[in-house]
Amino acid sequence: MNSEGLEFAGHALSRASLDSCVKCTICETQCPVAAVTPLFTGPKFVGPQAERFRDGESVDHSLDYCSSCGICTLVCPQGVQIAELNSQARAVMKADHMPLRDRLIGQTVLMGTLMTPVAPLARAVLNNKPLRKVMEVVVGVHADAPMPPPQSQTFESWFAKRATPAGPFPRGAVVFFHGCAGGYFEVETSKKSVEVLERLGFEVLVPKQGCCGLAQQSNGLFKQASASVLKLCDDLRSAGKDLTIISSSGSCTGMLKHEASEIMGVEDERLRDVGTRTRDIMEFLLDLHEAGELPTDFAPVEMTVPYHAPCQLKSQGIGKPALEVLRLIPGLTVVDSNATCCGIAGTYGLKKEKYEVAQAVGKPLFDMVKATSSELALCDTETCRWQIEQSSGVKTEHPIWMIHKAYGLS
Amino acid sequence: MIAGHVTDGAKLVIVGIRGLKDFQPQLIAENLARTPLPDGGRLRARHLWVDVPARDGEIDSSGLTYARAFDDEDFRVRFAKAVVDQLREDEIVGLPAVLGLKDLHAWRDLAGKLAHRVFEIPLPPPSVPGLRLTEALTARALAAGVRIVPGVRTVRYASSGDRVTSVTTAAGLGGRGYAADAFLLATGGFESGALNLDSHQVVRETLFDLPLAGLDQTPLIHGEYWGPEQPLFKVGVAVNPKMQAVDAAGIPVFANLYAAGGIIAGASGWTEKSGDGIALASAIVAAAAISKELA
Repeated sequence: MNSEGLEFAGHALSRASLDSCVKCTICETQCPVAAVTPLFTGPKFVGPQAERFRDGESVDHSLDYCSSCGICTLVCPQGVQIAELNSQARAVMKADHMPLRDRLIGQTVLMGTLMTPVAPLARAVLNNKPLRKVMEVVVGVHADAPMPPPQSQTFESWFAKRATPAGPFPRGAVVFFHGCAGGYFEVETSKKSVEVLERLGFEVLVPKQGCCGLAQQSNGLFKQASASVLKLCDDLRSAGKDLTIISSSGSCTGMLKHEASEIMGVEDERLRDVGTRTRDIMEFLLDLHEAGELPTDFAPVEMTVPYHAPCQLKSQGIGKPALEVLRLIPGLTVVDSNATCCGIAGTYGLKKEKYEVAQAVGKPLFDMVKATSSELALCDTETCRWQIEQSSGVKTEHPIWMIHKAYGLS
Repeated sequence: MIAGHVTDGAKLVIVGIRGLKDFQPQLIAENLARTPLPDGGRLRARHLWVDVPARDGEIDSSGLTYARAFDDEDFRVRFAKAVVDQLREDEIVGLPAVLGLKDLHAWRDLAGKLAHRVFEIPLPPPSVPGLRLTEALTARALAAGVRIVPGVRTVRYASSGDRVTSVTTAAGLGGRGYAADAFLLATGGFESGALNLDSHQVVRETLFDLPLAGLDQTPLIHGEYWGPEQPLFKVGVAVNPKMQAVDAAGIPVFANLYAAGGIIAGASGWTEKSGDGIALASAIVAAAAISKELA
């Protein structure tokens, strides 16, 4: 096992896939960042092309403008891991001068722990323009960037304090992985996920769990991220062997399924075990449906909602399961955004020097959302929801909210 | 675009854009002017340059960046302004194939602004007309309820008796299975990894390990670089008239496994210029056979 990560990134890059690049430029045509700014020279140029010249040192600093959305890897017909190469090269490039900001915004557990006890105050601070301007200057987080919504109660606390559900649970137990955002900020989404799973007859186990390290990974902090993800694997494994692990945190799911191994080179039996058993909640529901095991006694929901499949869900190679499950609800019209990216890409769009780029990337999506509904939009990942809601003004929730409603649970 | 179909006596002007390196208007105009037309006769052609940047902060822009700029009406106004006074009466305007990506009427709008007929000339990749076609076809497929799962390789299959029951993709660490009543193998050839040649000169079809046709030609690769077509490139999967994949005796390998496109034996698309035709024709025949079978 290689827990350093950086060593892997610096010396054992995914060069086997690099040599498969035939310079077709399909990645260039789909890159949402290169489409809106000449500051990023494009995934092929900084990826397979520049990689051939990297020898310990980076030859092209425009690489930092890559948002790591992963669309390039998704569309490559030759299987070149372009986004992974770029993430690795960036980690190496930033290794000796990692900005304080990039170290801080990866500390998702710390943020949640600090904000939850003082949620009203935290909300006031994050909504205070002069304070946000100070934050922009001192920390480098753009004053208009979306921020996590502080909650007064964590998911963990809700789960521990609620009345024990009566059951019965004829379908056995599943493990719920809530992720940091689902634990501290998107608490309602986690609650609704658990309630839907219980409605379907599953006993939901929630072991005490830490962070998957995704925000650190995307900022190039591989060592810390590798340690986090393995610790999380231990946490999730503690709930029981061979149980399906279900999450409504679409991006953290991707970290467990493939990013930790493909980007940071984490090779560990614990990760393999957990990654193999992990399912996105909408993917899980679609699997049940295809096996004829999903009750479709949904109450009609007369509504038209825009749905956006986030990059980190698409890069899991599972298509758009939410779209298919939502279409089982009578009366509901779900319109696929077919947009490439919302721009936020985890923490990218928060950074003051990237904010404008991220807004330009997301603009077609924001326009589509506004044109489709003024009431509600759906999207599977947290930071993307915050971005869409902030920039379109339309309330944005996880698709499980709609399933919860259609099952009569809310 | 019919304006690009030229006849004897036509007057052409080929317009180059300074920021777009992959398009050489002088070369194109001179070659056109010296070439007898297929139906006889000649045309007259000249070239001109305009300097209209696609976006600020960029000296060289790709064709795609220009295509996105042409989606914008304001850009078309600026472009037309730079061109229109240089045009002569009755000239047909040849432009690089970058006249809009999402806005399929951008070229028509530009022609109106110029009050001249226009046509597009393809560029090296990325091909904007190809992207327009891909996006249009993808939109139609999605509207018809087709599930598209991009970015993941299909690595395994399962079968029962003479039927394939499911295929599995390499999604994440666990993989993901897809069950279906029929399967159409459209994985391409050597260039996509659907066929693989190892160092012992053994060729394999990488998903189903299907029997291959064309292996009897030896050597599969001859040493003449500039010589005739390499026999290797005609290796592939044999099919029957329903496009079912068949073995050497002509018997379907699986009752519900069909093949289309570059995986089919016997053609080499780049010399015959037959790739798209084979892909389309075989897919149509296979789809018809599958529909009939499942009806």
